[in-house]
Amino acid sequence: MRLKFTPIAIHTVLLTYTAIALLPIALIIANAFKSRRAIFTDPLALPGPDSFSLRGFAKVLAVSDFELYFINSLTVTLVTLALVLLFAAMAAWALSEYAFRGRLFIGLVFAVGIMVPIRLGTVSILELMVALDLTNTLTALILVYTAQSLPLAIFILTEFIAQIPKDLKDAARCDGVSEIHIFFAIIVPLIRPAIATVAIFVMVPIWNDLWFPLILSPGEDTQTITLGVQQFIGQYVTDWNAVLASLTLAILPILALYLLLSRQLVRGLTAGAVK
Amino acid sequence: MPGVRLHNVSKSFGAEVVLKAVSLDIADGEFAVIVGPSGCGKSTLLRILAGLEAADAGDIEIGGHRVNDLAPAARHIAMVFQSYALYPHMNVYKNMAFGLKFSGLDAAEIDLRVDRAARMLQLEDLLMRKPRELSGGQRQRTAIGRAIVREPDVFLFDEPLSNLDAALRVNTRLEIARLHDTLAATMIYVTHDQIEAMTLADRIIVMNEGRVEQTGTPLELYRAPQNLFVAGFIGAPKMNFIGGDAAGGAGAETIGIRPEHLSVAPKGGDWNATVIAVEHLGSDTYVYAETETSALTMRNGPESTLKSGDKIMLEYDRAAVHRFDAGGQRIPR
Repeated sequence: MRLKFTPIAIHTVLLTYTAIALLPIALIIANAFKSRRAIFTDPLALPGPDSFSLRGFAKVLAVSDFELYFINSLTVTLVTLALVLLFAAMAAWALSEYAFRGRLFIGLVFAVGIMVPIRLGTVSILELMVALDLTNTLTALILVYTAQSLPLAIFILTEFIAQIPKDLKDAARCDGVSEIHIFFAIIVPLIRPAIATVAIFVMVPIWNDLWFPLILSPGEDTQTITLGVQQFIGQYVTDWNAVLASLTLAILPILALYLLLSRQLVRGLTAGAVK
Repeated sequence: MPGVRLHNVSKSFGAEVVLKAVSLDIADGEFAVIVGPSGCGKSTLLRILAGLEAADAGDIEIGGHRVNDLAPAARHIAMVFQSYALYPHMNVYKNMAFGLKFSGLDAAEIDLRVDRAARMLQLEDLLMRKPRELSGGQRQRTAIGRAIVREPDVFLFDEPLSNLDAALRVNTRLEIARLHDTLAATMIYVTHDQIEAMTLADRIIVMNEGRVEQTGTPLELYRAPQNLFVAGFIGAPKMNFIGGDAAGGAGAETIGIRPEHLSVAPKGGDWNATVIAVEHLGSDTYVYAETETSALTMRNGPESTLKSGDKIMLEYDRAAVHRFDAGGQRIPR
């Protein structure tokens, strides 16, 4: 017998999942606007007239180099994003369009890259960065994140590029359009939704990463926001107001980027191309 | 003179041989239609001509120059694809102008050419529309416009009408014929539809299994098919093939009789037959009948009163019989 899912059942499952996923975030945001006492006495309550407090935000903005962390995180994320999208799209185009010796091997290398976590190589990466004199620079982070994100990005984009009708490229070739122009003027605009998807996939783990900033760039000037928050978490005392406030602030830029990119996720962009 | 010559062109995809030493000669300004069943290699031949596929062996000449090693754009050809292959993110104007931008023409000249093509194809009001906002016929005209603006020596059409509905197909067919008269360019047109071939072509090239079976004007092919394949492929309804005694009597292995050369005998006649189906087309009536040994198709006038189940005697016009030997080749009259 075939299982049938009613819309109600489907929505129940999805809503439950959404609630589970959103609850911690909602808790962080709600508690960021509460006084320290209120956070501990009733962590699940919404901020009321008695418990409302902006002390955390005031402290974050006054005491720490919050703007610097912000800019560091944003720089690392955006530069990485730009590099990953450019290189991944080009690699995906080459892998899906051209027959060349070693294509399968290169494709396999990238597939393996998806499966092996880059953190296994942390020690060698650190040695490499020390040798290159790149410790405590944002460049180190950008390089590592670019390498980390490329395999999956290439994998997804290759699938999308392979779906672009062959006739479209052939038509452009008959039209006298060079390969580089075919790529930038036809392929890239047509895979925009895929690029936006990949951008979201790539961006979130980089923004949230604590591991590599802690190891490669823990210096005062190069701390990212996840690292910067740690100064409020002490061995004996944790300034929860400040921690929650800075986490709340940290959500904003990534949320803005997400909204910006998700507008690109329009379907049916290739409609009308063929047939 | 931008005629097209193919000399012993061969092509295989892996173990599959698609073209077997095909040679062709297409004159300047000629409208040549390559026709054949699907998988006969006709599209591959066109793609090799366009430079989208490399030939394994043989020479390709356009305008007297060997173009084997030239990129598609350097061959002075333009191709219209079955799927139209319009750039979906560009409007009609940009679709036509896009390729020209890379050919070093100035903006004024590009404008002029696009306007001229748009007028010729009645696309003037649609220039700002995206492909998805166009109907099938409008998309096809845009694809043709994109070819025209290049002012190529040779137009290549790859089954350009097969995605259109029947009424539009006839219209577009006429437009392409008119276009050929206006532009006087060499056109090579690939189709599996023998009616398109008959109506459009100065010369038809019939292909089967990677070989050219016969070339000639539509009426030459209709009146004197060189072999059984061409005889069966050209003409609708299909030619009747009869073996056995009737063929032996004519000194052949198989004889072919066109449906219009069969008729109901007033008396006597050649075969007893039973009518199994009748199709009234208004101007014609197709009668499908069965004899003891074979199924026959007869073309009757509009006033035919035959109906399914009728027992009739059939006779045929002895002067219009096509004779074929055991190898399927035509025996001259």
